[in-house]
Amino acid sequence: MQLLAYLGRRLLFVAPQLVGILLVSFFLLKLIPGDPAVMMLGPFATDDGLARLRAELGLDRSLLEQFLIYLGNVLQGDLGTSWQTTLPVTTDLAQRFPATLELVTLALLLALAIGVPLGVAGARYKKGLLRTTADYYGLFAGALPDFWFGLVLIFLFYTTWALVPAPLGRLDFVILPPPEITGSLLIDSTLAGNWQALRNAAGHLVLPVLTLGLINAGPILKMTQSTMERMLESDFSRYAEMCGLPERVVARKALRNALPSVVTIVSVLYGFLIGGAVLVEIVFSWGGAGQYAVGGVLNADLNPVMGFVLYSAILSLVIYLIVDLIYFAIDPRTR
Amino acid sequence: MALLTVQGLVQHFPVAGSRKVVAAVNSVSFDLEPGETLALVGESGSGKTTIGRCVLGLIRPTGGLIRYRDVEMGGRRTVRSPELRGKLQLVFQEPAESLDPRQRLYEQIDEPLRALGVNRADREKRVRAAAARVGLREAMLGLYPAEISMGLQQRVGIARAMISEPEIVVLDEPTSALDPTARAEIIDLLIRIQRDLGTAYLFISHDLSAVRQISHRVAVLYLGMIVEQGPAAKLFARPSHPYSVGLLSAVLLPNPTIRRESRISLAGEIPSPIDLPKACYLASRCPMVEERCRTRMPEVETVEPGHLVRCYRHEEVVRDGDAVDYFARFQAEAERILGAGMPPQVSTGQPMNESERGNVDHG
Repeated sequence: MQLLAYLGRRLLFVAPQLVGILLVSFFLLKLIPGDPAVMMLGPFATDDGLARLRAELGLDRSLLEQFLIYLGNVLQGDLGTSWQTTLPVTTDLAQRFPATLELVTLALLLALAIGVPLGVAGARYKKGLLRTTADYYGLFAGALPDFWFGLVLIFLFYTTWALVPAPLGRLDFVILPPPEITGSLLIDSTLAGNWQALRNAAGHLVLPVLTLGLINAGPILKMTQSTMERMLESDFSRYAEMCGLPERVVARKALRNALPSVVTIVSVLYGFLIGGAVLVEIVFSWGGAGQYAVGGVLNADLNPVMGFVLYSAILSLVIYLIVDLIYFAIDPRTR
Repeated sequence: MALLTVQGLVQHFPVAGSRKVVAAVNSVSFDLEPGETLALVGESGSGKTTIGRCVLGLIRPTGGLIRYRDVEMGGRRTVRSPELRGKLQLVFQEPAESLDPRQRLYEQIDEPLRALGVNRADREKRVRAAAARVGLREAMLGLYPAEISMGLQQRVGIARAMISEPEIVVLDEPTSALDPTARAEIIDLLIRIQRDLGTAYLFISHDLSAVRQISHRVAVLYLGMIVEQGPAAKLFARPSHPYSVGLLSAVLLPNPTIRRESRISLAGEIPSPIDLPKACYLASRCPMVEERCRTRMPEVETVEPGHLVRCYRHEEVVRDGDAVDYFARFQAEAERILGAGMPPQVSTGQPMNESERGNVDHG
């Protein structure tokens, strides 16, 4: 009951939050110089033609009017059309957003699988191989740029050893993609029983997931290690140790108390990577949402950018809601 | 034989990146008898907490001897060793931090018994008894630490310490994080538990009024050395070391009209424990300093049996220092203030009726 009331209260704020986000990003984007009409018609357009196109696009109206028209369209589920792809933004994003989500989700799972155990080990042992590994891993993961690391992986695993398919998208051109259900190629091809597509999609995922996962394991490791260290040094851990409880039990207690901050860092990384994975997406020609949005910004193509912002905002709000629910479950203090 | 004997305890910690050491504890000796409270008082950094940790065997001492009954503590024998588990216990300064935020109170109190391998049925009985002893209601046992007040949290800490039926409990500033009401209640509770169970307390504190109320004997620490130790009432009434005089006159009194007549007051700051002088540690701050204080460390002298002091001029200190037990005056004053127009059940000074604890002169 308490939980439902809490959820209701949270959802009540979602709509105003989204409108606020759209408002801010709309006006910020309008500040970027560049005229879509000029971009679309090219350098040889006549003034007449430009004026007609501007009127058609509604660019001759005041900014506020433009925003209200956009907002009205959004409410009807119309996010406009991208003049670059000539497709509705909703169609484009329906294809690209799942691509990014699949990549980022798998990468974060990998990062968790590396970062948490290594962070815990680093905190439990003051010296030794595990501690040294954890220290150096955190340092390198923090220092390496992800796109560069991606290129190195491509050079090694594709160019030199030819272990993985070419870094050109999510699926080889010759493979028939499975019918789209969730947008995740792994899930869709499994559902369709298309094992060839599944194997091929997994092969394409290996390097970008490794790139993002190995790099982002760094912050997760650091956060786990420092929180875990703090918990192990706190009085309640020292007391458990003093009582003669085995070290394993003490570490488990400490880890349970360290989990909320791990959840926090993962949620932050998740929200960030939806747009922040763009360099890696470009390296692997992933055709993800970040790449789409950056293309929009560069070509004064407003609708894709706004659509991306809206989708990311909704996704972030959903993630934070889920995170709050997880806190609710794992931390009695929030109840 | 004493329950706990500490002889010439020395604890030095290396300073990172240099050959120097922090001399946290310098040749400390004291005994603790069953059912007795010995208070270790001193400023922050005087080594009180370190001594507590050494007694539990959590830190291996640099030198000296700590004996609990016939067991030598430190090194391989610590409070974690199976044969010593639960015999010595600890109550922390910060009640909130000493409890696992993610465990229910029941499990917190149960923790020492689980380490002892007590069976489930016995554990349940003992947890409920321990909770009742410290005044926690049954219904509270299902709560989490964040859901109760600090005073109650400290009660959980005490219940947890008492559940293994320890002979010695190290109380590491158990009242300094609490508000005055909770503080008084906790002191009351500790005194009652000691009366019922005969547990010995090593009471580490700078809360002098609490010390005066709870302890039978007091040891005053300065830079890791006991400068004076003796029965609480005597030491508070006639401190024989200049540092004790200075420390005791720092008690906060509830009434500014109570004047302090001491002519001995300490100047300056506490020196660094890294480069300690070879002579008396107080020489740089002491108003009664002489040439010999600066050249040689004074030996421990016996003022009267059980009252030891480390000062060349202790007789003059007693003569010139204040011969007033400020705590007794504090107590009397507090009772006068609280007594005016208040119902009689206000329990100030309630635990003072034991004859052993310093006789307070209510005059």
